Amino acid sequence: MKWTKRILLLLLPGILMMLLAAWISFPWYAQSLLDRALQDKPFRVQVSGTGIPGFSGVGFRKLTASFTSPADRCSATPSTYRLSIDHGRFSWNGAEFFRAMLFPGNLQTTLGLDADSLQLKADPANFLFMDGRPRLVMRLNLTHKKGFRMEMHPSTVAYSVADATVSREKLRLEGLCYRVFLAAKNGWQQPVDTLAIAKLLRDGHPAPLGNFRALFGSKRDPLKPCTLILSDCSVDLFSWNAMAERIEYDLKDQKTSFTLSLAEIPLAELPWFRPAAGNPVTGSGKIRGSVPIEFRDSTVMVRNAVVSGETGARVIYLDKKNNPWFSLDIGPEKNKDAAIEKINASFTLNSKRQNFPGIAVSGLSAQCFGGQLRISPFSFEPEQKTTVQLTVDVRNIRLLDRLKYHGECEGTFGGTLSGSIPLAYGKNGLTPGNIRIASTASFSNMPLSALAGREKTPLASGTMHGRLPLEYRDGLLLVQNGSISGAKGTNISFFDTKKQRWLSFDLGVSPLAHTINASFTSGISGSRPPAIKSFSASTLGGTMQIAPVVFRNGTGGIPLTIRLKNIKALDRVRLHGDFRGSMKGAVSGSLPLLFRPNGFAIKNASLKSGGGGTVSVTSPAPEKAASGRLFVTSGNTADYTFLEPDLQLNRDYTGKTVIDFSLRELRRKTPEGLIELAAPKGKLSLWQNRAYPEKMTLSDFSAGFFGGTAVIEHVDYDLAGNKAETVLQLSNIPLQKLLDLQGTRKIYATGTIKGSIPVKMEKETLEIVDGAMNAESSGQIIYATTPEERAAANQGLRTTYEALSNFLYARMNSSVSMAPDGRSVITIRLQGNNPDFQAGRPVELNLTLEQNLLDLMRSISISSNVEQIISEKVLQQQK
Amino acid sequence: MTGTIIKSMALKALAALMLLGCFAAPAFALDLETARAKGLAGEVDNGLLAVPPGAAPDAQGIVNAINNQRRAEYAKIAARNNLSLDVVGSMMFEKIYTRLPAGTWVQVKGQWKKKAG
Repeated sequence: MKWTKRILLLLLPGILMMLLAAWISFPWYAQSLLDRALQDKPFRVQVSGTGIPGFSGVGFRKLTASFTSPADRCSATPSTYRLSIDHGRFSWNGAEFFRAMLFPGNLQTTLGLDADSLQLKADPANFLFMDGRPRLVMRLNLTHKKGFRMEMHPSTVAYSVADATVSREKLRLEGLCYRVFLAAKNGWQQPVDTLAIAKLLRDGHPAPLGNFRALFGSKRDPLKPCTLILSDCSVDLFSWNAMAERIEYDLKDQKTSFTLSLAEIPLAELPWFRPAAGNPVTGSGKIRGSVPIEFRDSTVMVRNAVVSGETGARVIYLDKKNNPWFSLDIGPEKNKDAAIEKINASFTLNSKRQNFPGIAVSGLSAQCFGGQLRISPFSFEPEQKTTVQLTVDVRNIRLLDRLKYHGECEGTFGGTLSGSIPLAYGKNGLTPGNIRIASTASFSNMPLSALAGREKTPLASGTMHGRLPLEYRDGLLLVQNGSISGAKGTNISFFDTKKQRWLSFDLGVSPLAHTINASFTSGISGSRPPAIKSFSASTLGGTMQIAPVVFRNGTGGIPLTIRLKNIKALDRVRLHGDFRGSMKGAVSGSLPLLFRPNGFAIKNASLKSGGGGTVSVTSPAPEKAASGRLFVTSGNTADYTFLEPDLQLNRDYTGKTVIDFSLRELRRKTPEGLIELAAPKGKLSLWQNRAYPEKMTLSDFSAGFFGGTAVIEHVDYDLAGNKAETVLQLSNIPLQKLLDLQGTRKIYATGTIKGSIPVKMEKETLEIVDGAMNAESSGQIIYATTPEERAAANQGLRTTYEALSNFLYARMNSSVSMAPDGRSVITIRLQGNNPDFQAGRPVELNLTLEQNLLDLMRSISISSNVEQIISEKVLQQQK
Repeated sequence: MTGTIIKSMALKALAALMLLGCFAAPAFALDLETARAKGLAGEVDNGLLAVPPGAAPDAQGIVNAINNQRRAEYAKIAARNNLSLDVVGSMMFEKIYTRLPAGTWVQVKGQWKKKAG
């Protein structure tokens, strides 16, 4: 017994020494322990840098493991998974281990694994899983067997993946979270848990796809044993959420198929339609879509996807004031098709071909607004900066049917689009190629103000409708045989300073313009500047043409010359308010315009008409006593008739306007009389001084007047104050003509007179200061009396009668003055003789008339007064 | 009735005019007959004289002088009969025209022509 004890005492240190040696040398045989333990197992584990085990754990520098899952019915090729864990540490409860070793029975303990990083690489799936600071926890059942033998049975393995990444070639998923929990009692099946992926990156750039969530467990559908199923999936596409009830991944065919539901996406939240300063496009309403997707071998196939808007969903183009301008309805409408349906496409992502690592898109087609849209296959690789070429083919797309104009009334359009649009996307951005598009566009209920400008005078009102067959090809926009009509009541109105409409131009004609043929270069292709190559139209019985013009930026402005021929424009003029009348006639001429950003100029425009018309002006309610009014007595109407107007127009960019005008005739007719101006012509200058826009200047005016000529060299007319001052030059006016107009039957005269009459106009009054009218040459004046009149007259008057029975004047001078109220003094001095009177001795006659000349001018009948004055012996015979 | 009176007066006036024509003639190098015969003066349908277009202005003086006289006479007739000078003038033209030799320049309704034979 003693020996036994002694031997034991001797052996104990030895055992202890052996245990100590085994403990210390653990790093050297740990690998062989593992190898032996994993013999005949389908995986290999390599561990290096193993530390000396402690009571509660052991560390290592690197642990690699590889596991090959053999080919099975779901996978034709075996898959190899390589696990690599850096700077890890297994931890355990030492006391529990010893107790399990020393005492019989079962015990549960925990084996933990912490590391700096964990990587899992799969081949040939070719993905790499990486997790920083992973922690795996394994629950073990320890069973004490005979001796120190012990059996370990893992009961659960838990691994909370938080913020891991998975990458495959250029694609990278970040922020992957998933709770792995495998338990023996569940047959080591992963229970259903939430798989979350924060973002997807391509080449390090975030894709507009993120915040993916789905429920996933490893248990498979017995009917689909080779299919992994994700359910209740949701993903943020741009900023909105897309859902898929179920995503199935077929392990055997390595494909995914699911239907992505885009539910109620507010259009305004899409990146292109987000309200922002300078973004003229926005959206209202919501769209939804259903996108069946198949993913296989890096290729995403979209089959029969549908995107449709809810009722009222529209894309809105805003005007400069951020009011809706045009809108494109994408909601469902009666008898109209869903916005976009039957979308098919195939996207090959991140192709394995080394020379092409981008996206290849093929078979992209859709039914869009009732028509067909097809895009040629193209490939896209942002890194290589190659130019992407593609062609968009459109057939019968009823886009215009859904287009609306939002103005004072809602304008609508119609027509289909067909054609092809080649596009290139490269370092210069998006550049279109030779676009070919054709459409017979129609429009109706388009407010005219959309063309002529809102809130401006002249004011355009009414609506237009028309049909424009359009074709765009080779950089040319062609209009072929278009027509435009104005709805009844459509017009452009002009207003006076009191905002009363006085003139309008009636455009309510059907058709207003037809046979519209035009060609424009768009300038889109960049090689050619925008230009009008040709423009012609038949309008109002005549034709209109625009001379070819190229729109180049330059200091000279953009020239635009409009040629008019026999356009019955005067027939469309309507007069309002105090103005009445009608005009008739065709207008011909040319209107050369120059456009600059700061305005427009007119250069030598020439407009001519063989027609004419009458404008009747009814004087408004009297503001002054009748005696003070010059042109029209209150309540009376004056008819101005003009014939054959001919205008030459010039306007500079500041608005200075000069109109050289001539007419064949201008007549003013009032109940009291008629004034005729033959061939009046002159120069009218307007808006010469910005600070004084009321000033209007008439210069070089001349007209045939009473058989002679009236000339005004220069007169400034103040429109605001109705003020003007000038000298009226009269010449070559037959004296007889004046007397004829006055209706006299007793006084006859030959010879002509010339005069210089300073006129001062203010409000509606007229003042003449020191006017002079003289005979241009000698002549004859006859005051014819009957023998009875002579017999009845007294001696003095009889002598006067006799002297004037055949008075040959050598000179005739007169002076005229008139106060603003019309009171005037006219003195006439006649020098001459009567060959039948007192042997033809020289006679000088002086005549003074004092009267209200305005009354006379209104009635234009001086004669009776003259006769009366003579009868009243005002005539003084001298010498 | 009135017409007869006017006609008789017109005839008297015409006789007076003939005389006037003779009176006036010595003052000018040309007399009216010669001027008319030479085509330097013509009769106008208003009863006055005028120099036909293209003719030398030699007769302008006598034309003016005779016209002044004619006007004075016409005015008297017009006043007596309450007519206008133009009416009297055109009536006088009719009378004058019948007495004009063929080939004399006459202006009717603005058109100059030679009186037919």
